[in-house]
Amino acid sequence: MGTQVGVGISHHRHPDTAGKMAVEQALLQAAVERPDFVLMFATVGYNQQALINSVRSATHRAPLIGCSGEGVITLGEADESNFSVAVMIICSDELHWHHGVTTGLKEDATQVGTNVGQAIKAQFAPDARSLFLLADGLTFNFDKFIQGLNHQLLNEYPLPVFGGLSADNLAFKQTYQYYDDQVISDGVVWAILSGQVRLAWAINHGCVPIGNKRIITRCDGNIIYEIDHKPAVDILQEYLTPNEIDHWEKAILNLCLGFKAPEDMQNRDEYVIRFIPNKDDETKSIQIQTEVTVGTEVWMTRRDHEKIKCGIQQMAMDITTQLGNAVPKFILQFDCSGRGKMVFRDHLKIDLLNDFQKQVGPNVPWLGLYTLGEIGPIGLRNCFHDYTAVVVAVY
Amino acid sequence: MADTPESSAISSIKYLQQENQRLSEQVKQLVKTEATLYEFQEKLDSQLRIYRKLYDVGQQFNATFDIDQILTVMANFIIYELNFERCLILFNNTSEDDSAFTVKLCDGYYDETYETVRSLKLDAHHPVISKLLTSNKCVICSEDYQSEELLQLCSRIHMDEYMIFSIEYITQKRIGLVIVGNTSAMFPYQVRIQPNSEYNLGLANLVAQATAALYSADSYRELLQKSIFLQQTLEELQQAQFQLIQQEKMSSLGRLVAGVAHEINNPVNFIHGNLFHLQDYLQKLFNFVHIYQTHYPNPDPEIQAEVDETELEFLEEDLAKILTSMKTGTERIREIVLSLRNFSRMDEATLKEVDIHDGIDSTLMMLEHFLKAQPERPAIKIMRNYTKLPLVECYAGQLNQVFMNILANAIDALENVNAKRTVQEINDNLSQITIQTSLVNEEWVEILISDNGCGIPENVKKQIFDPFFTTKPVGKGTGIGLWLSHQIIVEKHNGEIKVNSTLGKGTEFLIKIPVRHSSKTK
Repeated sequence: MGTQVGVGISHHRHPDTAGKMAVEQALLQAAVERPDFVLMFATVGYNQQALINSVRSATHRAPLIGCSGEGVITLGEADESNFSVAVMIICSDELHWHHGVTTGLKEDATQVGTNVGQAIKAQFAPDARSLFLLADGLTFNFDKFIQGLNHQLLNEYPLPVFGGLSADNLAFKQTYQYYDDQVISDGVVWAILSGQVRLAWAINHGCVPIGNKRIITRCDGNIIYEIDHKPAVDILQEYLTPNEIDHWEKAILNLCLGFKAPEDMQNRDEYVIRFIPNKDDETKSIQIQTEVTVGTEVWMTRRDHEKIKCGIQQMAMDITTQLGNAVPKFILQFDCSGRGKMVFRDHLKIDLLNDFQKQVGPNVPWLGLYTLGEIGPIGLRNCFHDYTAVVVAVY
Repeated sequence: MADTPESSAISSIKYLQQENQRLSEQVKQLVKTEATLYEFQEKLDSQLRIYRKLYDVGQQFNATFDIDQILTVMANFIIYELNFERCLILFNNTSEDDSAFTVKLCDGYYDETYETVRSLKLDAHHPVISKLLTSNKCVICSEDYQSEELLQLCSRIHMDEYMIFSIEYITQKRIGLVIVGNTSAMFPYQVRIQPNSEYNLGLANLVAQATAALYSADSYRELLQKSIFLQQTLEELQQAQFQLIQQEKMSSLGRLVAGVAHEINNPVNFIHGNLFHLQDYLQKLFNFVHIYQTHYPNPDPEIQAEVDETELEFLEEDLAKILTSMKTGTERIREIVLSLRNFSRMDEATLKEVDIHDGIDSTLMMLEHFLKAQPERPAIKIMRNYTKLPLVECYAGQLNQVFMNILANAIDALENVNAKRTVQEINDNLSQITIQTSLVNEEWVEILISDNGCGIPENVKKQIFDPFFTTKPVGKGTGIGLWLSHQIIVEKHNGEIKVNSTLGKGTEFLIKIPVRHSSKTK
């Protein structure tokens, strides 16, 4: 049988109809009646439980993971409306999936990482190829999470980790993760892919620093209180228009923080970029998704069209080089929500995507998500990214 | 005092720091300007996209006169392009006394409210609707602008904010309401209702386009209905004209037949009546000859020679036979004349009570030539299963015409079957026409005429009573016989005529007519 994969998308406003339509398209493309595994991305205009019920029913209750995002991506389409659902169904006798869910990120991300590691380790397959992770974009702390996961699993069984953080269309109130019939928040859903397959991937961000270097002068964990001895929120506001200050959710997609990349990553990019999912107007502090220490150098950064375009070309080249003549079975894309319609006008965004997909896999089942943070390995290190695209091809 | 290298360097650093600070401020300004530009660009793109879509919608409106389709296109645009949650379209038929608006279309209701809203009725005198219809402007109920009247409507339409537009034609024939809005739960995900939103213009344009499209559709439908009515009237006129011509033809033919029958009747009666006298006289003459022969057994040789030459004995014997034959012949002529008169029923152009069986028998008599044996086939058997019937009030001549058409068609069907069969096959399954009459109830009689011919295909059966429809070769059939029969039974007698047929087995025509012409109870 090999591997049969199909992707379907719907924008119908009725969650029952939308879920069913997307699955029907996917099943038709894969030419199968029952999938082994389902990946599902959706936006938050829908009643999430009604949507998942519809997809579960149409996929004969096959194992499922997924999450909400700022938008979904398929072949030729990158939709960032409030009403999109995209489903990838996989039916294979050479790929195997082991999936799970853990909640409690806000309370103790390290413990969640530990729990995920334990759950995976309990059923770890020797031919495991990678870990796919989808976590709550509002409560996720990567550094703490990966600490638990590394300790429990990855130090012993190194695996590349790919994934993205769930979003809620710029509301920054509640994001959703899907695990079989469950719709949860503040959690991580994961799936281990095992079998006789290989992975090719590429990662690229498109931000450039603006203005002078600044120094973090007061912080705690992943909360930054002061930069250059001024409240962090005030520093950011120096770069924002009054309208952006009123619509903070738009502002922080335009403006992000850049930190010097570690030595071993310097050959890829000088900076690692960090998104600011939360701010506290009372303490005038901001929150990022990794840990930070006092004295850390920081630059205000913004997306740069040209850099993003060149980056996409570079990613296409990286993946096609790894693939050689092989044709991917499917491709997953985790793209920052700050790289979609916030930067590119509609037609330009689609043109770039089409061009990229044409180079990497013009007829390959393709599923992507606009995220609040991306996870993908650089070298041997599993890293957290912002304003970045992580693309992984399974072949 | 000249600058020392240190002080020069310090001032350079100071200058560079100031320059750096200035550049830094400029960068911040540039970033803000870029953001502002992008905001404008985004807004313009959004407006342009809506205008493009509005153009497409206009094209879709122009391509149809289907009202449901126009409303569906409008609702889809409101929900999928303008991104409002719910859309409700109501109409009020101004020609009716009931002035309530009823729901014609509702979309975006994906919960239990759907059923409630579908049966919603809004009174045209509701203050909000009255205000809308008199002011001809849209009514807006937004989150921060709500009166008691506006709020009262919220719960009925299951929206927490809404806008109402009216659809009104110049002719005022149709008045509609388009209500667009959101529930509070969906506020974060939908375009909000706001008095000064740029979406309001798009909505107003859409409603205006839809109004024009609905007006065109209604006008088109009206024209279409008129055109259909005119077409029907024309067809009815053509049929009536044809029927008149046909009736006139039949009437002339009837008069001719009746005239001929009358002209033949008198001389035949004269011949028939005198035949008895002739037989009597001849008998007397022969008696006289016999007496003469008894008294003069040996006549003159010349007389004897004449007797021998005349074959007097044979002549007497044969003359009796001739006279009997002549009587039979004149009887037959009288019967035919009676049938012709009976068939034409010129004396019964108005409604009269007649014996249906007489009409059927007369028709069969007319067709006897076609029924009797031919060199290539035996006679067509006629089975009469008559039930005692009351006299039926009808147009007898026209009814006989119906029997004639149906029976002639049956004979044609049987001839067609026989033409394809061997003599053996014909003898094994003799051609037969059965005529059965029955009394359905006190008010209705039924005549069933069936044959064991080839039957009628389904597609032909559907058109069998259509005017000018015929399956016969050119010159053999006009396609009016059964159509006319249908007209006579249904239109003239308020009766019914039906055809049942099974291919290869035969066909039956069932005629039902009322005993009293005024009776319509079936």
